[in-house]
Amino acid sequence: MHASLCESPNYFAHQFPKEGFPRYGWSSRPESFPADVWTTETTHRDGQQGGLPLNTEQSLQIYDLLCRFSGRSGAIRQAEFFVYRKQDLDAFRAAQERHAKGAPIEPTTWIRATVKDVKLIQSLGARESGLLASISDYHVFHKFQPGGRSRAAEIYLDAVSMTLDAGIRPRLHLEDITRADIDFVRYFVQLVLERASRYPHSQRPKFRICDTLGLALPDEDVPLPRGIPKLINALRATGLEPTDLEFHPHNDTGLIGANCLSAVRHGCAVINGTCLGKGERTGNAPLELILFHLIGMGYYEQGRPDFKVLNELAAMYAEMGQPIADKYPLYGRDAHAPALGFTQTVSTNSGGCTLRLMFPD
Amino acid sequence: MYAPFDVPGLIGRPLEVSLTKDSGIAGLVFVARQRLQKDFDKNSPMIEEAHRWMLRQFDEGRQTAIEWEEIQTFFGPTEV
Repeated sequence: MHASLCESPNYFAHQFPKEGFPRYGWSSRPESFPADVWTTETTHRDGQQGGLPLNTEQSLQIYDLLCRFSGRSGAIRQAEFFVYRKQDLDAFRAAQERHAKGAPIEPTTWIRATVKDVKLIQSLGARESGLLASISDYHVFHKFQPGGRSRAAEIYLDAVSMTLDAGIRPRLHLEDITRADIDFVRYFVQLVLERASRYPHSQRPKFRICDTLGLALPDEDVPLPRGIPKLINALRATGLEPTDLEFHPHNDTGLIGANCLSAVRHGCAVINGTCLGKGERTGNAPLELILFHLIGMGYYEQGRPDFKVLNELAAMYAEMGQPIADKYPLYGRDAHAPALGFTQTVSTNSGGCTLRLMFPD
Repeated sequence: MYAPFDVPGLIGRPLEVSLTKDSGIAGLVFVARQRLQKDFDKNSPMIEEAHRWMLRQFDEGRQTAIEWEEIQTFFGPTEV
């Protein structure tokens, strides 16, 4: 008899535990992974930008749901807000009050890297702000004429200085970096770090790696600017730590999840996106799915986010006329309603509820 | 039944079965058991009758899944 023809079934219980999410099955996590990995939220910014207009009440409902989802797990640490409309500013201020009273998600702001915009946030009390700094020549050579790269760097740096002077930590959103020249990226990162070196460590700049058009690829052998492993390695080589980096991808070509996991694997500690994947065009990184896999890697052993809470977010989006797709993972209408693959054996023997992956007759 | 993990326990969603032309009689048994909290045999007359009605629907060209509300009358009066 062949050795594989065993007498008892092998359910790979180590990887598919009866309780808990599926595990990677590593004996230990590979060393390239950051010690801690977490997420930051952009429903109030990129979500709205992507056609999810929110009034103040809705913004706060979402903020509260995200806080309940994250709880004490530290899974979502920050959420960014627009400051241009009264409704958004009111939502930001109310979220600040909630955070001061113990809500787990820190509200931050989002502006363009211009002196004019920094003036809007100088007195809002945010500890950190995103600064949109488009970095590819597709943007730089069209937005900044004449001058191109040098003019862009000059304008961004003025905004960085002003942000630092206001006591705010700048988070540079390197827009369209997956179509950008790494030499210019490196040069700009160095200029920002130099500019910030005179300020307290709590204002050390962060850099958001924006795969603006979803063109990134997750594989190690893909050249710059599209290959995420080479991109993260290049940024780390400038002296940036895993927690100085955030990855902000879009899903235009369907690789958003793979790109996020690749970014983490190569030393990026923060993934920015939205719960349930709302966002421009094909959406932002679906944070609940990224967290699902981070849990599978062994992160969040001390306390997980409460995945049940996001049913309420899905219901809220449906009520707003912005439902998630029926086929959306975990929370879509059909996510747990198979039409095939159902066996009488399972319904009879396990009370109609099996915790194991079963196969059709 | 496809369930990659304890879906009710972790996500807070029930496991459901979508009744389509391919669900088979076992899918119907699952739905009846879940809805009525009672055991049903694959050969019970109520199951067979409901299943025949379902198949007729699909034979006549129906393309959408069948909802429980459409077949619950086969299982006797509903307690309110």
